[in-house]
Amino acid sequence: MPEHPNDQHSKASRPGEERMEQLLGRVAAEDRAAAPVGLEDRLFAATRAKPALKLVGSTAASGPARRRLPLGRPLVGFAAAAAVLLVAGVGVWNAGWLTASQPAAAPNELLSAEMNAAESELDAAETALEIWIASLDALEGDVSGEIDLLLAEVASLDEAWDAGLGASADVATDWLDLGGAL
Amino acid sequence: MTRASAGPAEDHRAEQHRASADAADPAVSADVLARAAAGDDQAWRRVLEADWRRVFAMAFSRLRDPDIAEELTQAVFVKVAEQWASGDYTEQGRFESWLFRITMNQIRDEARKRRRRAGRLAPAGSLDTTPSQDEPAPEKTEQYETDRMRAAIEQLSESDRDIITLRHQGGMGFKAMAALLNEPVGTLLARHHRALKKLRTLMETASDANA
Repeated sequence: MPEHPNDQHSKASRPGEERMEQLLGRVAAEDRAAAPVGLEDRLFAATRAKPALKLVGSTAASGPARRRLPLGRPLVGFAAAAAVLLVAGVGVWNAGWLTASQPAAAPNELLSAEMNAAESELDAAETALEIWIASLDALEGDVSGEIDLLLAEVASLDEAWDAGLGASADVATDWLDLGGAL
Repeated sequence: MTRASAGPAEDHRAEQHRASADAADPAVSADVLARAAAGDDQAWRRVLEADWRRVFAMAFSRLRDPDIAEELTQAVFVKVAEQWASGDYTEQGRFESWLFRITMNQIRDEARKRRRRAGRLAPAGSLDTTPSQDEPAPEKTEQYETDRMRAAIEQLSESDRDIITLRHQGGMGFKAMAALLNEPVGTLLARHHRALKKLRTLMETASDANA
């Protein structure tokens, strides 16, 4: 028969679960203590006064996209940088145009809209990067294949050339022999 | 039949927990809320004092990045301020539930974005905190236990984590959680109890694996 929830709850004071509660209390205390100094004042400023808003964090942080760039391959790195610049440039142009063309909106709304726009641009840039890198990888594979084929053909031509030279030498020897006989 | 109310003993425990969860008194009176909603700076400051650490702790516990937790905390309070300024919000004694609903929604959105990015750009990292064979086993210090608890929380289901986060980082009472999650208090008590049991099992399993 399953335990009644009340029965379950009445056992919550068992030492093991009290220990869990204590540990959770410590984890929560650590989480609250991790708050940056001055955050309360910044929150107040952001929500009440003429907002001296502070953009923090995610867009400036180094993310997996940056860590995973294949920097060892100059061509791919260059192409990726070009893609980022292109996409970011379009994003900045659009953001500037949007900001300039909008009527006076509340600063908080503007901040929120700009953060959303920045997030979208970042997502678009990441997608463009992935597509770009994938296509360059494919291109690199194709070029490598073509080079292998060319090298194989050159090798066979070399062999043919050597064979041709051998045959020519035999013919020349025959002619010399014939000349000597005459 | 589940009980409809947690009873005075539970409420007392919840209040004790809430009091210990934050240096400021989280219970902001309806009058202060009404004045804050009307644009009174002093009242707004009191609302912030009472709640910002809890909102930050919830965000930080789930996202583990102080900058993003700050950004999210700011977004939550900006939203509250905007709703109050627009006159869409009427205080009916449920401010705490409303505030934490906004918080949980923001946390879910951010977590979703991160998962999407992580899935697209890199394989998800393992949450395993088991030391490698070369590392000496850490002593069972309090910090070690706290770290194991964090690792265990990461392994809970989304709904169990919500309960733990609201209850412990948010310092919410079960009645307010019931209003937020739209579930009976008795159900939440049982779910919280089960989540504690799971955490205990996860921590014991991890200890056995390290032994």
